[in-house]
Amino acid sequence: MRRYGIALVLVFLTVALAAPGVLHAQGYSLNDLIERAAEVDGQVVTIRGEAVGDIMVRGERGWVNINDGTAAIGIWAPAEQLRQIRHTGRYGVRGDTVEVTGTFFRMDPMHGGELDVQADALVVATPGAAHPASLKTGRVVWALVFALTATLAVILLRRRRWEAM
Amino acid sequence: MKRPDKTGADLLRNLAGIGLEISLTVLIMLVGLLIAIFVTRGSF
Amino acid sequence: MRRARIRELRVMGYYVGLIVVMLSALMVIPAITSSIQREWPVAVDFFLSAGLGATVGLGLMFLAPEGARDLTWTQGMVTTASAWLLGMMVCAVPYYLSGHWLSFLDACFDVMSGFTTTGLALVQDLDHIADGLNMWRFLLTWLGGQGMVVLAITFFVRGLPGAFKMYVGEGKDERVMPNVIHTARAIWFVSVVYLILGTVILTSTSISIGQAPGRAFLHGLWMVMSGWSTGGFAPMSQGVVYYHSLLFEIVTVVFFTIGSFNFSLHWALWNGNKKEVFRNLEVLAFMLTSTVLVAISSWDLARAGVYPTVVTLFRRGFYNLISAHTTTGFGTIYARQFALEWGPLALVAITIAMLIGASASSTAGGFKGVRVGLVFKSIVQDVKRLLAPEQARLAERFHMGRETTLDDRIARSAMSIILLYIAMWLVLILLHGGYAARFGWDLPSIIFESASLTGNVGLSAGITSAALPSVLKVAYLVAMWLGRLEFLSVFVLAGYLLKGWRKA
Repeated sequence: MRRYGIALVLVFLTVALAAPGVLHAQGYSLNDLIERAAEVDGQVVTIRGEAVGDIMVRGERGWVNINDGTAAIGIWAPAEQLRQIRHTGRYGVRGDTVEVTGTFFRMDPMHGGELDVQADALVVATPGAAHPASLKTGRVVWALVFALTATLAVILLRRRRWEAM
Repeated sequence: MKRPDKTGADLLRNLAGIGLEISLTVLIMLVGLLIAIFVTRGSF
Repeated sequence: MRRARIRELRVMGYYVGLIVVMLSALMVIPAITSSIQREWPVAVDFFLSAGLGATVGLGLMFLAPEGARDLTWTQGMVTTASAWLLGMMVCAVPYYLSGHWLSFLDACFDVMSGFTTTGLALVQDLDHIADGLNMWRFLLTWLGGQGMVVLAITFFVRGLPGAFKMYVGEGKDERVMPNVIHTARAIWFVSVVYLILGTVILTSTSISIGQAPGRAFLHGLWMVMSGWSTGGFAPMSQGVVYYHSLLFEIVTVVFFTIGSFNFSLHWALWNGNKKEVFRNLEVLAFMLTSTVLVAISSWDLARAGVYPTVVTLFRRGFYNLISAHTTTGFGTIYARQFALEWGPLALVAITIAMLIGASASSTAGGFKGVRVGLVFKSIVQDVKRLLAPEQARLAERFHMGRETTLDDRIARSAMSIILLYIAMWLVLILLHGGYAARFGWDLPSIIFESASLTGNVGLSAGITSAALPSVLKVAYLVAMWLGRLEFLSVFVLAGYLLKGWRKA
């Protein structure tokens, strides 16, 4: 009896996973989504990317833009899930890498025809961190050198004009 | 033609000009909107 | 004879040096921005670049000979074209030092794209760029829109006897005011007022859509600078899509459309001449062409199901068409979507919009509406003459600020420049054709991209990238430069150099 039970579960799982409209597209990069927009339109996808810029909460849901190095796409997600994000990418900061599962739209009618993902689930997969860039001594030296040469040039130019008068 | 001037009348005239330019742009947008309504037969 | 020539070169060198010094001094602005934002390495890079540029520029100024420093027409144009070229290299230094550009050529490309208010970009990892660097990108765009010569005229009032000749070399021939210095000031006045107004409005908009106030201010300022100058750069890699806001899009349309108008029109309207709107040839031409092209593209996009509803058609169809027609280059869809989703008819419509461009004596590119209007009128005139040759006809007139006779010389000049733009567009298409197989570009994309370059627009169908062969990057750079300066000064420069080489 148990064997039949297991077999039934297996059959059920196979059918469920193969059911149309549920595609866990783990292999898609964000650029893939743009390139294959017509094909993936309306399907549920799972994607990853670094949260960059601003998290724009607008009522109960909000936007975060994620960038995976190939492209950047807007994610429309519930506000509480967005609030998990601590770091967003900018100069000197690597943002949290988030994993999003949601419906991909080539032309989202809710958002005036944008290409976006409406997220059902958004989690922070890898937290980001600040990584401040350090000053390069060589550059500072050159900056001072050129400041000097420029000042010298100004003085010489001024003197030349003075002499010409 | 006048140089940029700081008298009240001039500033008002400038503002009127700005208003007119913004109106022109709004007109262009309205035309675009009307065209969109027409070609989609009002599908909102 | 040689003495005179050397003297001539020294005078031109002096003016080029002056402009380079001015550009280097402007680097103080991004340097301060980076300092405020504590982006120390970037601040150092800007100080370094400023010092280097100033040294080079001041060195050139040393060349100035004794006595008068007036310029002939030829010299004025050569100076302008040269200043843009040398200025480009000096301004590219901070970009290159940042590491966000893969080569110095890429850095120069983005500088030229900014100067010419095109908006195509080769920058890498824009989403992590320093605020100081973004400030430089938008400052160059805003200033490039006004024109470097205009900038120089405004600030170096005393020492510019050859001012007007350089001004014309920059592609502006509207005499907004009898005195070129007053014209330059008037242009600045209008630009600064709209900058302040636009920044206030767009910053408020950004805050209302969820951006933090500090970032909202920077983005507001930058997008106004980019929109007003019909540039096309945006602070984030997604462009206007980043904001996900209809309100934001509408505000940008207002500012970039107004920014595409002729400066003479601004000045006329700001001085109470309301009738100008109804009589001005360019306004009428633009209303006509934009309506027709929006209609064609909208019809095609709706029919094909690309954007089937009013809102989507307005935000993704109309917006991009108007962005193209004003040669701004803000896009509400991703570059490749033009290639993948738009049908041929819509693409043709937007290509034509890019080529026609917007108004003369503005920041916009393309043939310019006035030329299209003039050519149209002169063809009508020719047809009328053919139909009734015996009848004595009054010469056709046109209205741009004032009534002018449409004589053959004017008509011919308009047609010649249009032909030059078309020729450049075709040459670009040919060049792309050579590489199409290697990169997998289709013809519609090539035609689109070439038009975007020709009109200094900045929309892309996905061809522009750092992976382009250097030959094409250089071609793009030259095309942007030629398009912005409306060919004349660059041709004069080439002719001048050729003559010099032949004599030697």
